Amino acid sequence: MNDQTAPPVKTAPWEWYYVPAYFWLGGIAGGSWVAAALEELAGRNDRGVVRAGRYVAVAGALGGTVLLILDLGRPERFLHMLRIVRARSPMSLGSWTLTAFGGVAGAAAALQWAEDVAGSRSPAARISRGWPGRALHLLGLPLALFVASYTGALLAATSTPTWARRAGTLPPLFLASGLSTGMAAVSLALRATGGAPSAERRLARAQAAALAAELVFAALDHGAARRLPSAAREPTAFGTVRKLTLLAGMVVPLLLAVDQGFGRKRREGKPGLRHELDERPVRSRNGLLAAGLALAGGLALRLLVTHEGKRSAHTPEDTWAFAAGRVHDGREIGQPASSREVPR
Amino acid sequence: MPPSPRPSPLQEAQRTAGVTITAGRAHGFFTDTTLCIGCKACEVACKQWNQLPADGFDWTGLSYDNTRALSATTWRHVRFVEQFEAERFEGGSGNAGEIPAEQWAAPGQRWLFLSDVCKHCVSAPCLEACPTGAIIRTEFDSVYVQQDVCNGCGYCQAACPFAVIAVDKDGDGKAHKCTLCYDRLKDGLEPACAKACPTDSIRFGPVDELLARAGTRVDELRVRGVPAYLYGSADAREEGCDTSELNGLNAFFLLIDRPEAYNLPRAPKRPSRNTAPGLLTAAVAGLALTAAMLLAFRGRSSA
Repeated sequence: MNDQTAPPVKTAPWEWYYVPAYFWLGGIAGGSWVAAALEELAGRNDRGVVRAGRYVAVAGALGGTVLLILDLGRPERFLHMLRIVRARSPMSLGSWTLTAFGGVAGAAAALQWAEDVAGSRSPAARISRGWPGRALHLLGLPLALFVASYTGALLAATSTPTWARRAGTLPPLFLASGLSTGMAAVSLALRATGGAPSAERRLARAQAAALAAELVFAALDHGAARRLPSAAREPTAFGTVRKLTLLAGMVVPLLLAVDQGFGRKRREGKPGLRHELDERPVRSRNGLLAAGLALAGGLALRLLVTHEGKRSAHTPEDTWAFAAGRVHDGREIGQPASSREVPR
Repeated sequence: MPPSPRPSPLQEAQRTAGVTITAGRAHGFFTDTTLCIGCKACEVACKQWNQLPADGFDWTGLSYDNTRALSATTWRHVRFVEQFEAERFEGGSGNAGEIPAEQWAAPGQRWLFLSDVCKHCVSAPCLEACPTGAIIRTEFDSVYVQQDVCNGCGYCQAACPFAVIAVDKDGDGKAHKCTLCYDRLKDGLEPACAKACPTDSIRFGPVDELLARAGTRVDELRVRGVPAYLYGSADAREEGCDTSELNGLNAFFLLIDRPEAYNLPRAPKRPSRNTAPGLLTAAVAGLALTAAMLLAFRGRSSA
């Protein structure tokens, strides 16, 4: 047999700097919207967090859309996505949701901008902080969660074996990553504009929760992926990159976020310090590092999953195992009981 | 468009393939690999009729098949399944004259050919994935890409379980594949590949008629001791093949080796089966994580 045969399935023709990078930006946009919405609806309604969340969300949604349009080659082609709704196609559902989310996030950002320009006592601020702003947050919440997570389902609904095997783990993993990167982006934006330490702490706690979930989903996801032959034959360097992503992109920022979000409470044991801590401006390097690492980890995760898909599609044994409807046991891939293979 | 006046009620396909092309009836290909001689006339006929560009003269170096795969500009591909000893590929200059004559005829040393093409799946994954509605099912039950609608997102390429449809990244950036010669069918002509095939390895016709013909052919071959079976009929289960998830293929094949030898998946899956579970887990995770975030934001923010 010759080894020149092309693989039995093709990979998605996406350049990493367009579509997988969009997965990352979409996650950030969704996560930062959750930060803005929950801060207003459930948190202490710190306007700095809301402001940062709204701006990051619209930037992520717009930036992601631009990447998708660049991938299509010609801008007007994006409009073809809005000809039909197809419930079976995550690509179709995602295009509509991204458009709707972009609209809601754009409206919220416009309100915020009006508030910023007109001042916090203006009528514009009353609209931005009043029920119209709240309604937008509530309306955008499910859209944001969908934008951050559907990309996992989008990969799963393909014929790429390693993705198709992970329909139950990729969407939650991408969602958790979207939330952790979203919180990180908002905390960076807040830091740049000077936010309250207590708000910073709430964001760190949310980031820690998202990162912890991300680690659990990453473990489950890897468990589902590793049963395919391409995973068994993975080059060592690739495994090293994955371990590095897990460690530097999830574990380390998780520890830092836990320290920032919960750690100080221990020092609050001294009542005298409580006031000082609250006054201290948020410039802690740990928080900066946690946010930066979480963001980089989120991008690395999307690229890893994309690359795994490419490897899997280029490994015929993956397709044989996947399309045989059986789990790879190392011996019987694609070999029926009554194999009529000619003797060698 | 007003119906074009036909001078004769006789279709060309009735003369060349003995079939009448009727809208509303499923049409397809029956490709009998035992009859294929690897001449690649179908490839050339397809390229000619559909005005597809040449793909360049690249030699694989390890196979006599230099087409290698279906692509956006290659809609028929005669796959060479070269079952020979490894030495045959490794030693010498690759000159056939250097290979001892007895090795050509040694048991198990054989060449299988399969003229690969879009399977025109009855439940087509590319069609289900397409977000623009560019991919449609025609009145001949074939799967067709409307070029003015396709926006080149490439999702169909990842969805196809057979590596057929492809985005032309070097060309117009849109998805292309076999059209079952939709334009020819409209005018009562059989597809170019089937018409060009000198051995009738590629048969065109209504799927039910093709299936009957294929069943007869399988029986005939089995009587002669050839382990023939059908790949792509929704009812066929031989060799563990199961295309029922795609509800069968309108372009199906007669094979004599396991499907993997021809680069075909044994039981192709329908990618859209993962859409609902994927979105459902996303929704459950969304609820759970929102609750966790809610606690994180709400928690005693005393500090």
